[in-house]
Amino acid sequence: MIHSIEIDGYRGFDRFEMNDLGLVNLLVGGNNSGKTSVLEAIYLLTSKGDPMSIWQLLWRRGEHIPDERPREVQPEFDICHLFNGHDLQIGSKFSLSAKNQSPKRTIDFEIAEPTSKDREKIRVDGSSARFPLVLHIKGTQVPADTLIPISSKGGIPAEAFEMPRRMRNRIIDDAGRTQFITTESLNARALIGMWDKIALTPNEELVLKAIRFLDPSIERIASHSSGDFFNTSRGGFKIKQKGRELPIPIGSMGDGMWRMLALAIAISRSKDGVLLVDEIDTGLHYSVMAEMWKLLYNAAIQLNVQIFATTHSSDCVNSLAKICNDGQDIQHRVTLNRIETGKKKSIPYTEGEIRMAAEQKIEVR
Amino acid sequence: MSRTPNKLLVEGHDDLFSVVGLMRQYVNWPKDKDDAPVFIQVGYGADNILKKEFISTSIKESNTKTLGVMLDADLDANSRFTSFRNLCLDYFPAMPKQLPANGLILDNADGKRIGLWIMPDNISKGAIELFLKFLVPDTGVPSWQHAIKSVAEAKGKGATYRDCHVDKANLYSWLAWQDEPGQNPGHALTRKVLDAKAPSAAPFVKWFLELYSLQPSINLQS
Repeated sequence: MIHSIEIDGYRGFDRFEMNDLGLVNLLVGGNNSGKTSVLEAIYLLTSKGDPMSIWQLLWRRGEHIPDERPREVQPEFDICHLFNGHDLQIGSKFSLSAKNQSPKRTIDFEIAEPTSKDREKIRVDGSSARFPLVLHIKGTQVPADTLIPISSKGGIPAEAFEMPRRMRNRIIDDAGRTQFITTESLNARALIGMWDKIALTPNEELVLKAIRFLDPSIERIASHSSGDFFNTSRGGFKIKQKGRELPIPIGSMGDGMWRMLALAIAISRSKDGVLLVDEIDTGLHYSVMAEMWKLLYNAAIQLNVQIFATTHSSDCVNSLAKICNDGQDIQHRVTLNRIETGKKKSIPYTEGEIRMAAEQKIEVR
Repeated sequence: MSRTPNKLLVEGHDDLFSVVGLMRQYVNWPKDKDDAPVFIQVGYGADNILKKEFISTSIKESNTKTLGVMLDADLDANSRFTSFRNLCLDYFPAMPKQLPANGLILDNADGKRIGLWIMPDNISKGAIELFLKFLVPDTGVPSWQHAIKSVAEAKGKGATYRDCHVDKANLYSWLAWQDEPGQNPGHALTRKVLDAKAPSAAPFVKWFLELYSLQPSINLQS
């Protein structure tokens, strides 16, 4: 479990730290305070410097370099925005650190001029003119010093991640890896791929329980076989309700159902890892929030998953109080942190304070 | 949702009414709660307010820049202050060891301000009723004397009030005989049955205005 994190030079943060983290951690703060960036930093940390995780973050944010030649083979990803000040030069650097038990584990991301030895390591075709710089990824968690070539436009070609276009939507699914859910949630193909590993296992019950909060009449859920649909944003699952003979597609059931399904599937696949959820209240009515937190909290304990989520919603924050105790149990601690632009530390709230704020209607956001 | 960065925590609803009734004689206090110069929150007793998390979450509230607290001394103003001080030290390390006689106003490095007034006068034991007693106008003194006498006599006839609450019994007995009977102290102040401009109110009024950086108004809407 990550106990504290420190961010230096990543995106909008010059320096930032957050301490005394727990099993379930909710982040609040104004628009552009950096909540999503904190989730991204945790994602990069838990991915142990895997370049693929950078690719995924940039893809999600849509940070491609616009291409003059529209039919060009591969898009390039603009990495300057990862660096505080959007500044890309030799020596530009950002660092992420996590404290688990005692020793701090750090990953550094630094722009450098590649040596000739470096060039041998880079496995992308291209002259040194095309890739004048490299991104070094190194640190205590990174298995081996990783080098990624950077073009003169400050971009990283997708091919550098060894990701042919057709594989861009490939399911990235390893147990123990970090799952990152954003407002769009995972796409149907990814969700089905993960569901396939859950179906007929004990975790299937967890998923059913989750969606039954929204509709207690649900008896079963199944995925379509892959030929039945195309890469739609909502689709691929059918639900059997009590009293109705024919199953109905999950798309008929609204955003909240999709979100709950995505959350339940994602946490089931995060055993011993981390679940990151941006804007966790999306699509969920205030009346189901308390149940959602209970479900996630219990699953987190059962599956040893550390959860980080962000929200703007006061209902979401207040219902978090329902899973708070007295904060004595560090292993199962619940935390709330407010991120304020320009402040180097988050403003923490203990479990007692979260409950007090909900009771007395004191604003924590 | 309150728009003001000013907040006052009080023990009970009568405290709330009393503060509004008093202060609206000095500053504009619109009927709509959202437009009030200070948002007053009822904390339901000193024991609740002095729970660790109440003060800390109130200080941390991002849209509250000035937090005032008004408590009754009850038996010991000093021990109330000590409890309060211990809760605030993390956020206001410069808090003095003694409560100033004119009330506490303190700023910290984060741009937050905290204030404390312990009724009646930051020194004596007692409660807000003792403060309000001194707002009885001269014309009310004879009936006030009568109230004190009656309250004492009632004890002999089986009245159950506790001695530590005699000030409250006196005040509410006296209010029962005024126009209109049974109004709370806030109404009494608004209707000028209690005198908001009495000299003994001045230290509290001064503390309040200074804490919240309010200018006394010359033309007040009634």
